[in-house]
Amino acid sequence: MARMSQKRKREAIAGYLFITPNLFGFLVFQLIPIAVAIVLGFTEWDLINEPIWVGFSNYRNLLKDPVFQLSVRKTLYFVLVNVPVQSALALLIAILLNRSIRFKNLIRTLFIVPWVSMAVAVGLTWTWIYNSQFGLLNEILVKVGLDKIPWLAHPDWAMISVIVVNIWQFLGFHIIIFLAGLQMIPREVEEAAIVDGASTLTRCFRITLPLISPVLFYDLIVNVIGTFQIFDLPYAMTGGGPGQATRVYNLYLYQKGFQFLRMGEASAMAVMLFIIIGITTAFFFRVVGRRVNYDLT
Amino acid sequence: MKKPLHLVGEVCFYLIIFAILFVYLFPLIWQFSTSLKTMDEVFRGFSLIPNKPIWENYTISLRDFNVGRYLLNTILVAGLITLGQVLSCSMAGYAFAKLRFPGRDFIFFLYLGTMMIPATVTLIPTYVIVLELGWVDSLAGLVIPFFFGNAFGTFLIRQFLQGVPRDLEEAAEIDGAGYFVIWSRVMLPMAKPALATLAVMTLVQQWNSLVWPLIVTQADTWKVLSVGLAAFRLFRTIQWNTMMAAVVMATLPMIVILFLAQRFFIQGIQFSGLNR
Amino acid sequence: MRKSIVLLVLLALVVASGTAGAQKVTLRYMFWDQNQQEAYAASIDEFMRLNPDIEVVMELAEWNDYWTKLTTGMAARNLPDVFWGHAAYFSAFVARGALLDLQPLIERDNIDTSIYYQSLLDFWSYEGAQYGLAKDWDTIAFFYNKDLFDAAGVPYPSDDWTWNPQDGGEFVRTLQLLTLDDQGRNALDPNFDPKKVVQYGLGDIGGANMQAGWLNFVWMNGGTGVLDKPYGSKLVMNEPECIEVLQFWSDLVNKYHVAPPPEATVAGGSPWDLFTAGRFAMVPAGSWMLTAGRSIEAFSWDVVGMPWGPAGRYSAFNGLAHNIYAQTPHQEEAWRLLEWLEGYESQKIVAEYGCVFPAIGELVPTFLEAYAGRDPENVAVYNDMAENTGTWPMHVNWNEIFDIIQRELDMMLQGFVDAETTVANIEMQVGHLLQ
Repeated sequence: MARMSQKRKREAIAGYLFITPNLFGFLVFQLIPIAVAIVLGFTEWDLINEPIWVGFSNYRNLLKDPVFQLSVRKTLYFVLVNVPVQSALALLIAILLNRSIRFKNLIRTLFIVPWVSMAVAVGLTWTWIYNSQFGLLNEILVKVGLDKIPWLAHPDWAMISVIVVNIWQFLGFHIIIFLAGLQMIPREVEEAAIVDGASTLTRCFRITLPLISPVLFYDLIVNVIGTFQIFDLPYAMTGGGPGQATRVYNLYLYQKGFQFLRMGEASAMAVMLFIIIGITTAFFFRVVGRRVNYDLT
Repeated sequence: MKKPLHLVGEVCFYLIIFAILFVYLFPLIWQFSTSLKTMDEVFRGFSLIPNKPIWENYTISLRDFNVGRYLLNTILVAGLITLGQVLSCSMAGYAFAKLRFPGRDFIFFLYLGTMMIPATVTLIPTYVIVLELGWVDSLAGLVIPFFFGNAFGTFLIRQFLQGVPRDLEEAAEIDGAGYFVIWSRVMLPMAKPALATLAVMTLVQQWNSLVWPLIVTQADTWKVLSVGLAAFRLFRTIQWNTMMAAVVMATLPMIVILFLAQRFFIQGIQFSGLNR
Repeated sequence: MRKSIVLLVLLALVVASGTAGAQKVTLRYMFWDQNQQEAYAASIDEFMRLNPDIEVVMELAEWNDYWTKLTTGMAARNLPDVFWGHAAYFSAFVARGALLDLQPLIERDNIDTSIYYQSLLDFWSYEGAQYGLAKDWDTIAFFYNKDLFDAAGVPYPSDDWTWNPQDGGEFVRTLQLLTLDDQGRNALDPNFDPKKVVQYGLGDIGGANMQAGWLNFVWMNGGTGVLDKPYGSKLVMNEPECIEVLQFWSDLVNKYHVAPPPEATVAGGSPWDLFTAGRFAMVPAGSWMLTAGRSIEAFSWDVVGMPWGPAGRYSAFNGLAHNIYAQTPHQEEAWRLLEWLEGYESQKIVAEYGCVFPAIGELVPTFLEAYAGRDPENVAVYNDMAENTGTWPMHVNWNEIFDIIQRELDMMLQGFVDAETTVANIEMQVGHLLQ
């Protein structure tokens, strides 16, 4: 009994030691700034003068703000379309690219490339491709005798057009995660299944997917958290327009903080986003996380 | 016995794959083509092949816009951060996945929580901290805030290591190995694909990172490429061709690294390999 | 051997930085326009030669980045000592006390402010205090592609050309002749297909383009503008003169089809890119675009003044100034730099580079000389445009107000709503911001 607790103690000390560097960076560069932001959420701060304590009034104002409500809806839509399509597509490509095909390394690399290209150029390039009057896509449509499509020009199209670019740009990120996950599957397990005569599809659903479920789970969580905070592409491509069509949450938050000099409200928005994402993630941890097969043996 | 039909089918298969890739990569191909055009040519039509490739765009970009220096800074900054993150996250990820200690789950969920706060509002407090530490406009200011890893990386390694069978650890423990040895000899080799993933992820992220370097650097000394690229964007106009030349030069090293990193994604991490 | 060299270099660095730090004050100077970098570097070099105790470090940041840096710096109390001010943020900054009041310094040093255009000085004053002198000024005119006019057989626009909001007048007729579909038919042709336009008469008429776009036409139609007066609390876009012009502006896109919708001229494919590619025959352009125009090689081009409207000819008249951060630890040195930069000698150096019109009227000929013998021939028209200028809207919440205006106008220009509804929508949303 005493030996057991001795081992426990050693294990705990080792645990703390292993997380020390990480925890240090976390405390200084993450937790303190976040604590500050939470406090600022209760103030009115124009970035120039001292913050003034206003209690919950930022929160009350936000809940009444129609643009705020709109940006929540836009963001939810973005998440609901982007996450399933992006993750499923990436998983499919990763599984296909995990087989032995010729030029495997080259093809894999090429599928991942959009993700490593300079983000600054991505928005610029795609707005040019989408341009309703002079863009490449509409040029092709007209050539084959179809009507032009107002990709970024019409509120009904703009959001989906931006989502497509987002899926395209970060597909490589998810492919890479899935590929790494697939590599962790011990070959023996697959071989055993082949010997047992399982079909490709059965192997995929019965063996591959359950075995990489911690990685699938990781990808889902990271994708949800990341997509809720989408900012760069709508900012670069549409500025939230036309009208309010692509004004997602984080874009509005940024404008509030840096353009409108209402950092207090922006901070309150950040806390509300935290709550929204937190609830969503907690839901996934409860419902999906439990079914994730953590232990292989 | 191979039938000719097989061969035709295979050729078709690869033709289709590369056709898909051509469409998929078109925006990047267009960037490359733009980098070889004259400014007048850029918006004139959709020809992918420039009238006469202007390779000088690359030398102009390097000479007039200081791209060479920015590139070196970027390599240094992204490289250091990647090194730190992989080390720190793999240690913490191991602890969170495999070791039991009081407060473990609480700390872990706190980590996860920080991923949900947009960086927009933590930017200023972080900047003030770095300012107080006297690291503004220095390598330290660019690197240290990210050096010790972040929640994304720790979470990633944790998830991967949770998949490592317990009997491997137990075998090592019976052999008398301590936690450090288990981490370095059992976990790290097992997690090679995950570590490579984390390294590539961090590198790409830092390579493209814009807002922090923008805020924390002032003069040209420590400017990184993503910030430097802004120099091509004049007030309401853009120097497309030389900018795309810089973009291509910035992207190429990443493609090469990605290609080389494929080595780590090779099937065949086997149990037998670990029982040395 | 190698080691000793390294040691020597290190030693030299220590000595150098030690002596430099002893008496020199380092000022940070931030600006956003790469086009003016060379000119201001020359001026600042001269300043440092005359003031050996001051070292100035120039920091260039692209337009969007510039404001992120500036606002973050303000929050952290670590800001460049001297930086460029712009109408977009000036009123917000000044009302919140971020800028240094120069009035006491102007009086102390007996600065002769009469050399500057009065309206520029007014621009930088707020509640009786003065926050900037004047760095430069700009007006609006049209750049036009001579080759496209020649190809269409349309005479070049003359300085007395006209427009009206009812049928567009000469202005719209010119644009119609220059708008071509893929069969080469112009917009007056009965078979003209507005869905397949390959060349537009006019570019750049988005809601965001207030300065070079719609606001000028509101003035030319006799409207007041956006607000009743600078820092006023009344929105006057509901004046019939204004609504009429906004509808006219929308008609250019949706009825006459002579201009593309705003979406077609965003980030990838800016109005300027499309003008240089020969897709637009004309673009409204502030005089600050003249430097960018120098890189046009494929065609010859010129400038023409705004067409005359029912109430005459107006242009926005704006300018930049250098501002000093209110909390700078080097107030005195920063003032010396500002005094130099806005002074005659520096403005002369900058004017010779021909980037922006100098704020000192006497130096305008020096600026124009930089354009002798090169396009545009008619560059002096920008100077004429300064004769009649409207009132620029200023407000402490301007960024927020303008964000709403711009979004609503874009919806109108895309053809989804008419001008009257648009203005009503704007009124509804900006009400609480104007108080």
